[in-house]
Amino acid sequence: MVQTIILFAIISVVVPIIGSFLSLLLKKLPTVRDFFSVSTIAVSAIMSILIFGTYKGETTYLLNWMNWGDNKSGIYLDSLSVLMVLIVSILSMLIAFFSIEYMKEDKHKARYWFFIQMFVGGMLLLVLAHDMVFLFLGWEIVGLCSCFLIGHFFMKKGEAGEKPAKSGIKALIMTGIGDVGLLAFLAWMYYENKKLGLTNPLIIDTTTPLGGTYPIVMSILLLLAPITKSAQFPLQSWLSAGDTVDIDAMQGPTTVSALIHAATMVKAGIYLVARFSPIWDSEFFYIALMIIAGVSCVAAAFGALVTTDLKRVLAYSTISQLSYMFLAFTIREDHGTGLIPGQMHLLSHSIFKALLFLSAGAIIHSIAEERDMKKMGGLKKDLPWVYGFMMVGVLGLIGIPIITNGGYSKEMIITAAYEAAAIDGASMHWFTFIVGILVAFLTTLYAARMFLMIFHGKNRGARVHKPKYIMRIVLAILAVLVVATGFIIEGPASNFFSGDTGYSLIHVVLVPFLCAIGAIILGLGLAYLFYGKGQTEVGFVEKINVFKALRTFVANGFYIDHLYNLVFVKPVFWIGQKLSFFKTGKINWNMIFGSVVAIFIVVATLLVVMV
Amino acid sequence: MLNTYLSLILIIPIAAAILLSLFEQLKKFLIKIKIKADCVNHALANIIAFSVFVLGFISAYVPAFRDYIASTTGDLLRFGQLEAVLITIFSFLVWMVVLFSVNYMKGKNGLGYYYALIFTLLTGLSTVTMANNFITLFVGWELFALSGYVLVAFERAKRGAVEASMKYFIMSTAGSMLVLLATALTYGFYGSVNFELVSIAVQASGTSAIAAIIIALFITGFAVTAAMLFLNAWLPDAHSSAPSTISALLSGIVVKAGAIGIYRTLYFAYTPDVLSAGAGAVISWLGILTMIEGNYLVFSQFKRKDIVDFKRILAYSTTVHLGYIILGIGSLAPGNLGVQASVFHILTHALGKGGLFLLSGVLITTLGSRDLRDMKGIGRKSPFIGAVLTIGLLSLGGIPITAGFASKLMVILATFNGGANAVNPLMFINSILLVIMAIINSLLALGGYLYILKKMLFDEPDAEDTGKIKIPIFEKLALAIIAVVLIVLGLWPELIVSKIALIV
Repeated sequence: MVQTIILFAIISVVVPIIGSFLSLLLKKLPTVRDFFSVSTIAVSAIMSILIFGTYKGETTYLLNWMNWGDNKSGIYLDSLSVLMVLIVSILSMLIAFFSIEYMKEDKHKARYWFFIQMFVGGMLLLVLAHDMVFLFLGWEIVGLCSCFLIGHFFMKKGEAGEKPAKSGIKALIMTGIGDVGLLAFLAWMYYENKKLGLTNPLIIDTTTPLGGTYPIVMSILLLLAPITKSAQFPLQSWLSAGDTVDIDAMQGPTTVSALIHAATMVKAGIYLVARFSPIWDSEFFYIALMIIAGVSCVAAAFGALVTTDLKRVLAYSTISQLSYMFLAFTIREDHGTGLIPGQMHLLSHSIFKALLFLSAGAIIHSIAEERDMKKMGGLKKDLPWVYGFMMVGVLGLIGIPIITNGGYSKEMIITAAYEAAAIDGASMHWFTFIVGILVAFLTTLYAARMFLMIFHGKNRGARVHKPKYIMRIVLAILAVLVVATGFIIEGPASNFFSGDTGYSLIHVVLVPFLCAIGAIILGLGLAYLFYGKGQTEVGFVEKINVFKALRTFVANGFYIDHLYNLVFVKPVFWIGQKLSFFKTGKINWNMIFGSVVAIFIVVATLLVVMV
Repeated sequence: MLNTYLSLILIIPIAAAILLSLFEQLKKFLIKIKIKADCVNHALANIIAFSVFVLGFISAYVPAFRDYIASTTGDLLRFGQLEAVLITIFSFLVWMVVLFSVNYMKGKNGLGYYYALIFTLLTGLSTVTMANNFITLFVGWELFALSGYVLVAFERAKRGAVEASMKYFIMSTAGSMLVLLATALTYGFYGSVNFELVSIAVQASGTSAIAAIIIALFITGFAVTAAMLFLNAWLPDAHSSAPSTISALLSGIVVKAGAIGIYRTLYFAYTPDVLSAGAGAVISWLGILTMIEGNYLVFSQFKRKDIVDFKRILAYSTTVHLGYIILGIGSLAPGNLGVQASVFHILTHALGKGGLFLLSGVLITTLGSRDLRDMKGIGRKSPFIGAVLTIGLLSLGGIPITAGFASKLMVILATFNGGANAVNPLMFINSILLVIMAIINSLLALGGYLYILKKMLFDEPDAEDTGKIKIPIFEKLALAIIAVVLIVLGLWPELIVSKIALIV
């Protein structure tokens, strides 16, 4: 007999997937289709609340999805997946609701709704998976949906249509690199577990650390997957390329950016590391992760500081905040375990980044799809509601203590890093701590810069028409959530993982707290100094050549795309061209006799040698 | 005495072939008594293809029926789960092609012969699949190959068709002769051509250099049809010159016969326990090299100045997938996982590539060009074409919610497990390398598919909208069935995997 909670989980996955196909049939009734599509996601959201309510400890369920004899697939519920399901489905519902208004004038909404619902189903499958096959299935489904949703506007004329198309394909190919790692890991895991004689070799078993039996190469292969999906350096450019390249995930509709590239899909990488963290006890893995995340954290913050595209600021900021979570996961000392802080930051980041992206969407929608911040300015008067809501989001991103959820979770991470370094003596976490503080400062700077450039100063040429009420409702809900979830982060939400009761986790350690506060104040002060009066450029950057060169470097997306083009794309075509030289297509001796004899000789020699 | 039902699988299509060509001969007479031979041929061909499919389907899904059929197989033929599944796949694709042909070949000359040749091709493939000795296998081999040569040149007025057919004929015959030579050597050295008797004799005499040379002969011979490394020069020409339905058959099922031949050689006659693990490694690396070659040739096509032939690209991509199938067979994975994976991949590739070739037929008739550059943004003009194209390409690329995902996963798991159980640590490293190469190649292949997808779906059409594209009903039906099957198997692969898992 299937348990009720498992039934809820299955419904939450299956309903959006079935709904995606059904919504294609509602071609004649566009309005019904909109609300139908949101309702299937709402079913998932209700189910996720029910799962959260009835959750009483780990539950598993096995079924035959692709059973060739020794692989049962399964669904697995523990505190991590329950929380992820809650975040994913509720945010998806809110954003889908928002997009009813946002996508109102789009002509190809059938495709949009199909992929949005498919995405929700895939993402829920990914976080609920008990075995590697379901995990990989969900992983690939979200990648596919991401590709098509980024490229949603490909039907537009000219460059406006070409860029989204290229961007979608770029996203699928670059995340494909991560799939290489995940697939190789999966195959290896199957082999290792089969050698141990397990009946279902692909089940993810996190109860026993398997560091002894799994070779270190496997962890590196696995690491490829979160790095690409969560867009860490040097594979970040599918999510956020340079201003001059301008082919990245931000070409999609803003709702898609909010849902997939801020709130949910990019969290899949975080989820993967969190899910597998009990298994890995190799220090090497965590050092590699720490260096990659540290570099991404700082570099992406600089990217956000340089770019003038509103959505790209948020995209870079997403990369930077994701690195924060990875950094948190590397802290594994006794006093400051980073797993729960990382999870908490995932929760709060999902909410405030969704709010920020949707506010950005509301702004962009109101000023005729203009994304360049240099052309905005002074929108405070025209969009007072958005101004207020976005302020909450920015405060969450900056991490103002006590009133926002970002403040709580960021503080937890920095404190954990400090305690690991200072009390447990793990000196490598001074790196984590310093990066944390530095990026707290940079975050404040770029968030305030963005906010001031949009809303303050004079209007630099944007024409405004006001957004509708649906947008306001969703923004208001998210704004309330940003504040409200802050109060549960150190209490119920953390206890959900640790099994404690009460607000036992609250402890303010003075040094990291003061450092963080100092960084925020410094950042706010500098931002006001530089951008407070509606400036778009900072004077001293213009004058000093080093800064100028640095800015060009960052604005070109760190030349990552140029590098890949040179190293990977061009050689592939070049080799192909050279190889086709052998394919003359004429019937002559070299074609038949030559090749047959050659192959025969090679195979025969090899076989004879091996006998 | 053969079982009635078992012989039906072979006799129905061959009898139908005779009947169909008879109708074609009597065309002028039939028109006098108010019977249109073409109509009769269309209907008959569909009924026959469907009935073979039903026979195969029942024997694959009802174990009792399969056992009943298999109970009387003798020296000549064998029939188990593998054969049942493969014949189901083959006859399904043939049915789809025949259904598609109702519109596609409408009004063409020699329709009866066309259908008759398709059915002799099916008979030949079934014989190859069910053969229990090398001579039966060879007879089936020549039967389908001969039909293939003629079918490639079916539109003989078209430029290059005869040349392509000739090229296919010469190369394939060279391969056949190698197979025949190897069969003769087998008989000479081991005193039999029956798989089981050969395997007993080989085990008794132990492995020797002569066994290795015979295996090499077999592999090279089969590899010509399986379009492996450098032996695939016939493939692109044959695919692009043949009618699109025949390209679908060639790519969907004919080339797979080569893989089946290699499978028979390696698993039945010269069984894995007498071979060293090295034999599997050699085959696997041939598969990998084939993949690499295919991938790069696909990319080279994109940059061609004269013509970016859509069908030629698909043909080269067939090479890549043949690499996967060979990889699964060559893995020699325990529990027959490799063969199961290969059979599954044969299925998904037959459907995906068959669907795309059929689609190319639609495109070529509407646009009058095979050039990819003329097909820019064709998926926008007709959402149906866009959907089928996307599903087919993504299935070939191994992206989920299409069936290709599951089969690719199985092949890769099998590849890793193949060398992994060997005692020699080199074999373990070898299998790691194989897996990495296979995955990287799948990424490259995906890149190629996305390039096509971008050109044909995402890009803006050059010319202004010239009105709706009308797809005839039967063509649409065949394409829709293929797309739906790909999606259904992608959403719930257990439907077929549970049957494939019974292959031992």
